Formats: sequence, structure tokens, C-alpha cells
Amino acid sequence: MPDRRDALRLIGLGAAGIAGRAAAQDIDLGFAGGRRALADNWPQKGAMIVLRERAPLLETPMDVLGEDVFTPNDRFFVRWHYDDIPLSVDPAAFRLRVGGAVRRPLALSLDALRRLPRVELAAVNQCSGNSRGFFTPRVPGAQWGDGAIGNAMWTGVRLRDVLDMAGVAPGAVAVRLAGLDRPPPGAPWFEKSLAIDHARDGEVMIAFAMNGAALSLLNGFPIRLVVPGWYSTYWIKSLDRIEVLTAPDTGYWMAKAYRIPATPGANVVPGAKDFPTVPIGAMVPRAFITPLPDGAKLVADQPFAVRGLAMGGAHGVARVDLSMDAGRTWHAARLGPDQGRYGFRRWSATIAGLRAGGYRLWARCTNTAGETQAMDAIWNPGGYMRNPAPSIAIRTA
Amino acid sequence: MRRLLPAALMALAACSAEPDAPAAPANDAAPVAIALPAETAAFPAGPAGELLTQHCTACHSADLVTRQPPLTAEKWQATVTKMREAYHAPLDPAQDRQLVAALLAVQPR
Repeated sequence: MPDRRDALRLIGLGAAGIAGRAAAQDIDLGFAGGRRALADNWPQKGAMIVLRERAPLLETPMDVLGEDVFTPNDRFFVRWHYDDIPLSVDPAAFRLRVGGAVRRPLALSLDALRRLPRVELAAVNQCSGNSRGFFTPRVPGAQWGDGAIGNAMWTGVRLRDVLDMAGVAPGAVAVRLAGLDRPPPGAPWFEKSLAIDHARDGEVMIAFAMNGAALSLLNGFPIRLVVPGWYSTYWIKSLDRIEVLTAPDTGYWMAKAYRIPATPGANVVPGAKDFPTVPIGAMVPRAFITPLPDGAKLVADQPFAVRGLAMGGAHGVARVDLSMDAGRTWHAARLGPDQGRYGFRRWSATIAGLRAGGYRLWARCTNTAGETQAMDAIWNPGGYMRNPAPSIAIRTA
Repeated sequence: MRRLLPAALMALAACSAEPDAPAAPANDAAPVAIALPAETAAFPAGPAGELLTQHCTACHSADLVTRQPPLTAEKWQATVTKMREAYHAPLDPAQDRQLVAALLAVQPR
């Protein structure tokens, strides 16, 4: 089924071009109400799509995302829940506290963390509600386009090593994590939990750098959690508290929020209610077609290049395929270098010359576990985990 | 700069065994402080906008509301209830009908 967003996006770009420079700072995300301003006045950030000013929700423009497998730090998306976010951090005073069911409660300085073995990993960080604005029927929540996502090379230490320093006590079942952001009076602290075995898997990382530089404050300075393959709701920013639990976390942000239908693909019939839910977890495969080929310049009977990025979710990218016939036949795209199973992977293809006319090109990613993108979009009331095969309109003349 | 990134990453990987890569903030690193841009998001002028400014913007900017898709009165009531019950917003239930009417009045059509 053709996806109207791409047609609208192309129309939007065309209209901006016709309107001239005055509209150059506006971006149309391609759904009703999706016109946004690009702002370049956010600290440690370049031009970002502002979805909400307080608490900040800043989205990465898709053409920026498509320029590099690694998303520039100053264009990386930003998502905070409560308006009381850390605006200053003194590294000398900062402590990461580790408590709960441990033998030795800790208050670790940044220097103490730096003495632990260092690890490095490419991983995609994606908001659970990325692409929520495209849900049909629409659902309330942050109306993101596709840009609440980024890939970085993260540097840090293993959460397991920090837990081992404290000594996990018998009976531990989960690890709860929280940061320097503060709730309004009476509201629940923004806290998320991982099962103890997940927290100790050696991949979950406490990162102090992304793409070789210190984290920006808006992205979680001085340290943040990295949960490879999982949605960023778990990637606690400005992490300062770790609590080992002997019972499952019944707090609001695990028991009530960020929950998905316990159905394949988190998919339910639009409007469904009262279905069993589970906390959101591992990501699903996605391909992105970006930067978009410039539709106005495609010449009939001339081959043209398309490219984009793909992610496998909790598994590596196995393949990216393209279709020109609404998914009846698929043709493999070339994959770029493998930078690690959790990161973005570049794909590219050359499309043979097309006779003058209008076409549509689909892309889909399949991961190494055999999960692949469907042509049709899922629906759930939270607007989570959207990943249909993307498509673009192509016109040759 | 973008072209330099792979080289920078290779350099980082090459020295990742060293305990003091410059990217890691140390105890003696300078404090970091930022200032956020002045808020520009606002509800439309008029009684509905004034009511929402008074009851919503203590916790979040107006654009959270004005960028929602068109929602039914029932959906807006659910949101008001969630703000009160989950986030402890001090919203008097006796005022819910007024708030929902105001939310419907300002939402884009």
C-alpha cells in the first residue's frame, strides 16, 4: 500500500523550493500538523527540528541522518521527560551511586569509573515512539517524524563491572537506573529497570563518550546508559543512581508507561483496548531511504543511485532489499561495512533506467534473526515500534 | 569534519586500551553548564489559551498540546486524568470540563 507520507514529503519539499528562501528553515515531516521549525539556538547543538521546547524534544533532520553511518553529536536527537533537567554538572562533585541489594554500596567518582576496563560499541539509539506522527489512526504523544534516532560509537565501561564492584547480593532480579532529571512535586522519578541477567550481559554500557567526544549535556553528560539493541527509554541520561532490586520494579515508568501489546510486532487492531501488555524492549529492523534522490532531476532511461541506512534492532543487518512493484519482487541492495551488529549499516543500489513516468520504490531490512519489515504498518495506542517498509515516489522525465 | 570522523574513530579505537582517553570526563574536568533558549511556544490568545497557560505550562511548554493530532473530548479527558493521577498535576476535577473544552478549542483543525 503506498505510503502517503513520502508523497507529502516530496510535495512539501517542492513547495518549499517554490516558496523561496523564506521557508527554508521549515521542515514538513509529512503528516498533518507536521510542519516544524529548524532551530540552531540549542546549546551544544546544530540545527534541530524542535518538537517541544520544555522538556526538550529535538529531532534530527532525515537528510542529516543519511549523510553518515554515525550521526553527528551536535545533530543527535534529544528527548527528556520532565522539565527539571540537568543544566550544569561539576565533574569533581559528580558521583554514581550503586545501592540496593549489593554487598558494598558505592559512590563512584568519574575517575573511579575511568579506572575500569574500557569498551567501545556502535549502537543505534532510537526513541520508542520514533515515527509516531505517521500512525494511522493518529495517537497522542510526541509527534515525531522518523528522526528520533541516531547511531554513535559509544565509549565507556561495562555495567557488569560496576555491579561486580558493588557485589550483587543473592536474590537480585532487576537493576533500576535513574539520572539527574527531577520530577515535578509528587510525580514518579523517571526510573527504568533491566532484568539482572540483561544488566550483567557485558554489553550494557555506562558511556562517557559518543563518537570520540564527551556527551553533550542534552544527551546525558557526564555518563549515560547504553542498552544495545533496545529502545532509548532504557538509555538513562546523566545516570547517577543504580539500585539492585530483589523484586520486579513496580514503578510507574515500568508498570504503566512504555508498555506495548503482548502480540507479535506489538500490533493490535486500531482502537483496541484491554489487551495484555509488556514493557517495551528490543528494537525491530528498519531501513531508511536517505538522502532522498532529487526527484526533479531523474532522467528517463538513465540509471540512478539510491542509498540509505539500515538497522537490525537487537540483531545485525542481514540484508536490505528494494522493490519497484509494491513488494512482489525484491532485489538485494549492496551493504556497506559492518560496524557492529547494533549500529547503522549503509546500503546503496543503482536502479536501471526507467521510462518516463511515475514510480514508487520500497526498501526493507531483514536482520540476522530473520525478522523483516512488513509492507503494512502496525498500530498500537502508545505509538511505539513503527517499522513498515519505507517507500518514496520517483518521477522520471 | 564529517570526512575526518572515520579517522578519528580509528584513532580512538587504537588508544582505547589507555586509561585516559581525552573523551572521558575526569574529576578535574571543568564544570559544564548550558542555558536553554528562551521559551517561545505559547497558547493562542483568548480565554482558552489563558486557562491552559495557567494549568499546563508549569510542567511543560504549550507546544506539547498544540502539536497533538486532533483528539476527541474523551482522549483529552484521559490526558487530563493522566496528568493529575500519574504526574500529580494539581488539577481540580471540578474544572475538567472547562479544561477539555479549552484543549478542543486550541487544537489544530
